[in-house]
Amino acid sequence: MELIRALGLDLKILIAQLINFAVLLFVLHRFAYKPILGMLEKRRKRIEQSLNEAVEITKKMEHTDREIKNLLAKARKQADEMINQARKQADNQKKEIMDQADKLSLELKEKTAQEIKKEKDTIIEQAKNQIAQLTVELAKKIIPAQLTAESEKQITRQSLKNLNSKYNPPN
Amino acid sequence: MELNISLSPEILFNLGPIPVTNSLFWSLIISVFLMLFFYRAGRNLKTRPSKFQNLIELLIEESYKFTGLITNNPQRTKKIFPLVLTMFIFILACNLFTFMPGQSAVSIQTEQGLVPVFRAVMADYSMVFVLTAITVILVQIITILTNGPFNYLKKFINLGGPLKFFLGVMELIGELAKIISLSFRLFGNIFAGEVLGLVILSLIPFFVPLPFLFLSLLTSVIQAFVFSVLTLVFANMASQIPENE
Repeated sequence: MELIRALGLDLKILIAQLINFAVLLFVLHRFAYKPILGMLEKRRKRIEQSLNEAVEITKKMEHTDREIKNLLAKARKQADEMINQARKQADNQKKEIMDQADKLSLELKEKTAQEIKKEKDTIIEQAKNQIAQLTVELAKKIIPAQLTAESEKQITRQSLKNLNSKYNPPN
Repeated sequence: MELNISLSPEILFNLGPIPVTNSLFWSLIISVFLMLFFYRAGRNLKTRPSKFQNLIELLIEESYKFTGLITNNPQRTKKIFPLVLTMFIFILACNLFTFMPGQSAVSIQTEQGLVPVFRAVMADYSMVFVLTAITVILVQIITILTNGPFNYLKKFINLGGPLKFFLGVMELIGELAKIISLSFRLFGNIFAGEVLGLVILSLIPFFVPLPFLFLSLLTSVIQAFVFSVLTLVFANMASQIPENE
């Protein structure tokens, strides 16, 4: 009893302290521990969920990546094919055009040559005729009286013959 | 200079039938402060915490983990955790508040003479006794709940033979010793720290008290930790069903 008095123990004070501590315990538990622990748990769950989601997203991304690569490869292949086809077509067309041009130029050349020959022939013919006529005129002047129509014709024929034999143009 | 060291707290005033001692007064102020502080901490919790929230979360999370480490059982952890952490925080706050400069100089005139308004809460045996009583009674309740009332009584009063009877008596003494060791460890340490500080301060007021201050600062933290952890350990031990010998 002496010790209790010396320590200053009083039942009323003890009860007051007990109530004080109980209230403190209640308030701290209700307003701090519970919400904070709940919050921590919530955050833990959220982090876990986020990590799972991240894994899923990575998987999906890999999948998409692969798909894109496949698509790209396909597109490249298609493009290559198209280019090849176009090149082939162009080559063909080129060849055709060239052939046509060759043919055309050959034809043109031939035609021109023929025409030139024809012209030449006509000119030569005309020249021959003129020369024959001139020969006859000349003969008339030299031997005016004795020339009959018959002999005139013959002279012309003769000189033409001479000319033809003398001047035989190359084809 | 006259040193005024008393083992019992001084009465400041009477609030109705309750004599309000200076340590009770101090503990009330600390309690209100802690309540406001933790109420503020528990409000407006955000998923992306502020620095303050982070700190509080750290304290509570690590304490929870530590409690779980000792109990090794999530359910038991959940039940005992609030009590243990509150004990730790309250004892720590009570001990640390005595380091607030100037508060020990505040005193008022009462019928008993000049009385200091503030007194280290744990340097008053009544608060320590209340905390110890909570622990010990809790331990008894847990033991009864886990082992049943019959086995509980059998632990202390065993008439199965002289040796067993003797062991039962030893258990009883051990239980009483637990109360005394638990309470006086805390009370003694803090009271001694207060007295030592006062004595050194009255002998050489400058610089020399500093190491002692650091020492009592260390004691404050350690004793708060020891008390709460012992409570935890006792409660945990009581909740385990003993192996049949």
